[in-house]
Amino acid sequence: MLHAIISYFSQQSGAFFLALIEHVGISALSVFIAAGIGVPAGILCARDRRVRAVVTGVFATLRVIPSLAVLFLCVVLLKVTGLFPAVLALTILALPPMLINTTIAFSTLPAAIVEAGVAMGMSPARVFWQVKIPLAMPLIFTGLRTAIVEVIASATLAAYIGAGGLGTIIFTGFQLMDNSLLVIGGVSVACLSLATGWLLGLLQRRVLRFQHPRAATNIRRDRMKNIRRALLVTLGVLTLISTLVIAGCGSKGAGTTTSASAPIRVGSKNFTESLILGNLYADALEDNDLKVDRKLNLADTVVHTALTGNQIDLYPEYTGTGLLSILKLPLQTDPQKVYDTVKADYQQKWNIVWLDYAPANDSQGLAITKAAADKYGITDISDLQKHATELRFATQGEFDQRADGLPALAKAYGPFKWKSEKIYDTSLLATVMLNGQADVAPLYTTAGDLANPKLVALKDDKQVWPPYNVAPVVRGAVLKAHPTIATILNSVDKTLTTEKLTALNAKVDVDKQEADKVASDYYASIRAQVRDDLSATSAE
Amino acid sequence: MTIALEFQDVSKRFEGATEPAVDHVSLSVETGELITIVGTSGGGKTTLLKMINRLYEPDSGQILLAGRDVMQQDPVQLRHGIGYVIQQVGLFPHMTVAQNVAVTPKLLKWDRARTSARVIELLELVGLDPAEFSARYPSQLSGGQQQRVGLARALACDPAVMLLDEPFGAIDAITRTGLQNELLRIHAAQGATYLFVTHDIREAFKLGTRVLIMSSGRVQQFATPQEIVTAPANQFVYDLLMTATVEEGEESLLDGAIGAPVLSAVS
Repeated sequence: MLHAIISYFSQQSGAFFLALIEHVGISALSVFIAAGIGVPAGILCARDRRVRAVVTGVFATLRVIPSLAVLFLCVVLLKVTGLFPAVLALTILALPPMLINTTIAFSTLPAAIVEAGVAMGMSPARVFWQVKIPLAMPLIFTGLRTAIVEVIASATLAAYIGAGGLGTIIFTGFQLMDNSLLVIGGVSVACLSLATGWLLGLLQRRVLRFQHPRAATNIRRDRMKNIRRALLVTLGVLTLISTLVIAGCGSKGAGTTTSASAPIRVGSKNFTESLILGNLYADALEDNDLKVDRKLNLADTVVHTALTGNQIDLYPEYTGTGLLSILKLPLQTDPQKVYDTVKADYQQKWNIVWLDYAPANDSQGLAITKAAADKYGITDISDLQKHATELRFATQGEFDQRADGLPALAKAYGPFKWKSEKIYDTSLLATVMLNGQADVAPLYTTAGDLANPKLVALKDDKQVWPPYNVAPVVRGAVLKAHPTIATILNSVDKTLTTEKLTALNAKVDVDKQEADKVASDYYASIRAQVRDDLSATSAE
Repeated sequence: MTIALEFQDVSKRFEGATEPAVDHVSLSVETGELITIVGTSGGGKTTLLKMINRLYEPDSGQILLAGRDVMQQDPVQLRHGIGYVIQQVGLFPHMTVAQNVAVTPKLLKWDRARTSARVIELLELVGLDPAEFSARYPSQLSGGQQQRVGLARALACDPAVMLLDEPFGAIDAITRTGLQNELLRIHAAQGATYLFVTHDIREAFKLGTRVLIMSSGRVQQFATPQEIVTAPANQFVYDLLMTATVEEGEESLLDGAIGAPVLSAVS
């Protein structure tokens, strides 16, 4: 465990500090917004007893709602994931302590002191800033501390909705069942919380020193003592970090060049197609005398960081996802160019190799019923646009709104004026078409439902959508230790056409077979060819 | 003598109260007087005081300060010229002693050198060593020391009028006697007009050049201590005097009152 933690810090310190900065950033932003709203609102509330009773009652009740619920509610209501709902949810969490404490502070100001300020000829603004605010400060500060501690703890959950932060480490550890990651993430959040509390305590004592003033003669001595204590703590933290880094550097050799005996950790994402492919890759490697450890079914948000973080060795990825979601590069539509771009960038950034891409393309797409296609002679999206007024469209709603959905199509092909348009849950779209309630619906190009001959995928003849060709992404070090991986997986991949992948998906999603069974059956059908390819290369 | 302060038929009734707090009060005070105001609790003493610096506003009548109606003046400007000391002291807890005393000079935008010189002068005036006390916070002072700072703060810009609302009410008897004597000294040296509310009739008679006795919002008698003792205006005043009848060996009501002849009510 200790060795695992040390090697994490030696190899992942960049990722760790990024997560730390994200965590602090999300928390700070949320608390800042909450203070900006909560303090003025609290001051207003303190002016009227009835408003105060209502508002403090409502906010005290709000605090009972668990932070996870608030987080997911924000995602559901806003229909987006990432930073925005995370900050919104954390702001909502931070609001009650800020608002309630400010309200209490301003409704319990000592009347005599405020009156003294007025009687001395302070203008109302001066009384507010120079008397009321300083007098209210201790309670407001307590509210701020409560809010910050709560937000730092809850920001851990932001990782679940893809907003990053230290929670990502915990989430990844949980997905991979890796205890060292859980410890690193958990301890980091705890340390961050403690350190922030300590800093705020120092700040509070400085800003509000009138509350506990020391005799003048003691101030100097105490200041020296504080400085010494701060130095000691800093020294301790620095020692700890450098020990970890030095120890990490010592073990770096072992960490990066994967030993030939260690099993190859095969990952996958958590949907049907990726599960089938992960099992397929694992089966192929095992059959050719390589030891494999299956770490399948990982969340989209962690699978890439698990690969760069040396927690898995390979997984099936899509070229379009690599280009747009991971590298965040501009849209391209030529499959070879997209592949070349991601291959070069991955190699350079992370020493990760994209093996050959399969012909299969799991892209966004539109499907039409065979009946309608035959009736109007529709084979591609250009044909579809011409006949849109005669066709009934079923959608899950999101497709019509998303920039890379219908709006992108309309830009290239012209407007789609459907005869009718209805919204269904994604899982129902194929059924709706098969039941004759709709003619056209968005379906991914390898969706298992497309194995049904009554449904036809339409060709994106103007290449609006980027290609999503599937290919294994493998850590360079593992490939060096086991050069046969490339030959084996390339041999598997080249058999995977869109039609074959669709058929495999259908076995799981439509016929309800298990993904590992579907994968091993398929491997059995291509085994001979893979073996041939392997012996051909080793003969060279 | 010039008239510093004049009440002309002033009345004030608080919302929800059946009886007026101040009921048709007319009186005038000359510059440099130290008027003590005494009477039963709820008799209108504090209300009378707070209408002068407009913490309260009269329902009817006029209050003239140096001949000008206070209601016609900007309240902020008006208060810069009036010192105000209260029983709860009301020092700002987040400011040091020096910063508390410097509040009014700062409001009047005095420069730093003048302000700090004035702070030192005032602390010495009220008997606090500036070197020792300037940097302390109010929470590090005793009750008596706090009230000395309160007094210094009120005196900072040489106000023409000082309003003191039971300033020594929460202070022990020995410290209070000391403070009373210092107040008399400061008043004599400064020459401003003082209005001093107290519920302690001995304090009222000791400090006041004239004593204003109030009950039910009305003036019962307004005269020098000697005149009141020799000729109580009514039964209320007589009863009030009887509460303070001295025991054998105690100093008399009039001992220590400025300009009072040596005369005991009972001896």
